[in-house]
Amino acid sequence: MKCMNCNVEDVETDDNFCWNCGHWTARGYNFLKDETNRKMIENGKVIKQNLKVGVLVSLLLIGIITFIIMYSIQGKELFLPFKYLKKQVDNMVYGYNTSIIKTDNKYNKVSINDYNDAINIIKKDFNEQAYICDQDLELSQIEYEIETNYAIPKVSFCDIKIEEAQKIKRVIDDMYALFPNIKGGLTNITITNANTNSEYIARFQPMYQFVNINDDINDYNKVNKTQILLNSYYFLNDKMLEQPITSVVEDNWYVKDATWESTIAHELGHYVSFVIYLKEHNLNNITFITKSNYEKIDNLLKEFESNNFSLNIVKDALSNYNSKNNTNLDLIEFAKTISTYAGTTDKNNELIADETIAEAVHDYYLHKNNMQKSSYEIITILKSRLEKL
Amino acid sequence: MKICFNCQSDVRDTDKFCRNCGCPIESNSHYIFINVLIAFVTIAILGLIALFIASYIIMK
Repeated sequence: MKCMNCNVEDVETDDNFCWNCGHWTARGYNFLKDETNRKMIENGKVIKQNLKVGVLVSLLLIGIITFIIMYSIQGKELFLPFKYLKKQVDNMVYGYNTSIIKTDNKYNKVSINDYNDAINIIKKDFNEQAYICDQDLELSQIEYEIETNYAIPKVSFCDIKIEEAQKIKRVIDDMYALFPNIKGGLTNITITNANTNSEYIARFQPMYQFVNINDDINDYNKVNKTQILLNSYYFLNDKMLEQPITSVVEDNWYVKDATWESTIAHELGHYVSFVIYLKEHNLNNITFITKSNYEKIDNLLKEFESNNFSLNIVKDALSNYNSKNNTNLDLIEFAKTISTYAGTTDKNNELIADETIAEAVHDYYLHKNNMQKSSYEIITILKSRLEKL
Repeated sequence: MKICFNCQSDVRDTDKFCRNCGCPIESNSHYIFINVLIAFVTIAILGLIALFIASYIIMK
């Protein structure tokens, strides 16, 4: 028998409905006239199940509308709980408080037209990460003051306790008071996670290649960060900060009276020598790289990393020291009068003079005029060279 | 042979509608999929509301 609606074959005489289109047959017409049969169909599971498709569509619509409303009220902060949860899980996994701020992000194929663009992308990178940080107005105020007072585009103390942030700020204030004309080279001071928890307490990084590192300089300008990083393992964990710094470094490693915060003065000491080096080569910073200054900066950095610049400063200081004190110290003996760290050597047993300078600055920060005579000679050279610039 | 989910009568494998009650014949996985999807969307909406409240609490 054929279906009277779709004309398919194979409809049996005792079928109520066509197997292909679901239209009733002549027998089905009589079947539907019986109310009991109609109720049987209406109360069947399939009808109820088909209704569920409508429920699903409605739920989906409600879900989408709810999401749009909530996102328009809260914005990106709607996802704050996920980040918060991640932070808590990370802290549990590592066994200490970690930072959510990453300082090793890189961007490619970004159009950077001038220095302001370079600064903006550095700020944007941190701002996009910082929304999960504890929203503390006092902490933000401290960050803002450091940024504006010392021309540092971005200071990020995310989740550092106020008391600790105040201590860090005092170090930075003192350092910029001791060396007033070092502004303009640093792009950021940031709390972050080191590769290993005890890799460093604080670290100065003269150049971190940040934007368009692998792109051709003829197509894209580049951006570098010159940054000071604070290790979250120490600065976010009270248990560490409550202990003396000698709990992680040997006695006399740093200059006498060193604290967790004063190590930032050491790092700023690296920055001071870096600024002198840049300014003596007519540069204020190495943040914005174009094809016109690319080669010059590349060569200058290679030269800076060769240790010669710092070594010459320390050699001059040693010469002055020996003649004033009627001594005959060699370079390493001279450096070790400051601290063990100041006298560290590389694999060729050559003095790492940049650490000597940083420790001299550290000594100057902690003891001012009571610093070691050796530190004094180095500071005198640094100051005189800075004043000439 | 399959069984109509609505009236439990036997249905041939090639049939698109039940010859007895006329209800569309879908596979079991279709019904499971719809039910799971409803459960999922319901949980997602509840989660969204929880997220909204939690984001306010964290921001305080």
